[in-house]
Amino acid sequence: MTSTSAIKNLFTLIFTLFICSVWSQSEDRRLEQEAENQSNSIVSSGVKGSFGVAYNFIIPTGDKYIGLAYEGKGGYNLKFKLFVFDGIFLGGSTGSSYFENIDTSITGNYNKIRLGSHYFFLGYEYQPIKKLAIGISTSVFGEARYKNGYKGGEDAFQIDKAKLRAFEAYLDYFISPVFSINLSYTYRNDKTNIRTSSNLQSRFDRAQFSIVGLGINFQFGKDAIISRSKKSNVK
Amino acid sequence: MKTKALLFLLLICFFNSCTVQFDRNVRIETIGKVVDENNEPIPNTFIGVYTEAARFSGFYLTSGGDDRFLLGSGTSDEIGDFSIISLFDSNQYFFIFVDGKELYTDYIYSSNTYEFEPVNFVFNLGQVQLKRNARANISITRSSLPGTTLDIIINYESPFCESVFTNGVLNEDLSNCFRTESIFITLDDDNPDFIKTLSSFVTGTIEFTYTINGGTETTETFVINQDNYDINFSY
Repeated sequence: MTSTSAIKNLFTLIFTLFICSVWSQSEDRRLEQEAENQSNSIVSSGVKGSFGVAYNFIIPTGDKYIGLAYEGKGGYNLKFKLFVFDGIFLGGSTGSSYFENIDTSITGNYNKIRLGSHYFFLGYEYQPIKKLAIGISTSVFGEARYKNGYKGGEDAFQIDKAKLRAFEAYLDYFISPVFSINLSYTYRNDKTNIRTSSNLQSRFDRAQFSIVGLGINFQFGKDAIISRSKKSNVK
Repeated sequence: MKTKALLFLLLICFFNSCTVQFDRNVRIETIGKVVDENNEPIPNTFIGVYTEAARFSGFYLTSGGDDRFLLGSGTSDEIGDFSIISLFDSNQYFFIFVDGKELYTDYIYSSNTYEFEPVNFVFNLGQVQLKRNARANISITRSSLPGTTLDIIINYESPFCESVFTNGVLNEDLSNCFRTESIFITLDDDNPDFIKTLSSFVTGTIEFTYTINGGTETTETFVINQDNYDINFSY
């Protein structure tokens, strides 16, 4: 992804969020009531969960090879989650991130990196007020695939694989009961499979970077899979 | 039938791919020190790690045959030491090029990588001695009477140097460093004079072995002691 297309994607996302926000505030009372009724019907039954999409700002960090040589070039991800019990949820995420290698003497001769990330996560969400939810999560199983494009042509590449490790904190602002704007911070500390000399092993054993995500979430359902109401019904 | 057709199409797509993939999850370190003929360090010498990967179009090699790819590069520091990080490409012609540029001779370290990985993922070139390039300007003129014939063999040392390693061990038979090259000439009435510039290096030797009119064989040796070395010989 070029920086131009990344900016375009960001603008598209912000524009969409803006339109949604304006739309949600400008409807008249009748439509609002209708929407609320409809929303309530969506959220009033079934397993509680959400799915969403986000644009990501990638920030290389640390003293490993990514922190030393890479520049973040944006990315995106799709995410879903289902609540298991109270605020505890399980979910999955898939997405791509893009980097540019600005110091090939540290890594080898490649410059365009596309990272595919696929993982499941476990987390906890707390809703202090009706319009706001905060949460944390950690990856439980996942794989990262770094495709390193050869510097000097599109016709060669190299792959590095890693066990994905992600730790996330997020904030959801609810514009309506079914729709929220999501701001997240994720720290990635992937354990790579890279084999190299004992001198360099400590530089290549981890891939570390941060992700700041801005996206939208759609909520559905009302109860966790194991809900208190069901438990009390059983009693 | 449709499945077969689909598989066939997929196979065509697969074999028509012309991309080259280097070894997954590997980084190689190449270390050593560059010195001149007096064992003085040579700073800022370019060192490149290359592979020549076979290129296919469909089932066939492309007309260009192999393509050369730079896997990693760097330069020696102020005391001549270097440590280059690169990708790796097994089962191909793999070599490390030390570029002496105009001033010094070049050096090539080549290795098989067929089922071979260097110990600890390090290619240790040790001390790489580059010699100062020299041009030997040879001029042979006839000062004797017409009818005089000179048979001469000029032996000189080539500046080319390639060390070939097989499974990490120097292969003397395949290696070729500063090999002696020979020129055979007969000068007579039709062709009484000879002028040629030879590429060699400072400290290299040039040997003239000659007979005049089929007489006694004589040998004269010259040691090159400057970048532009003139040898004027008359018979």
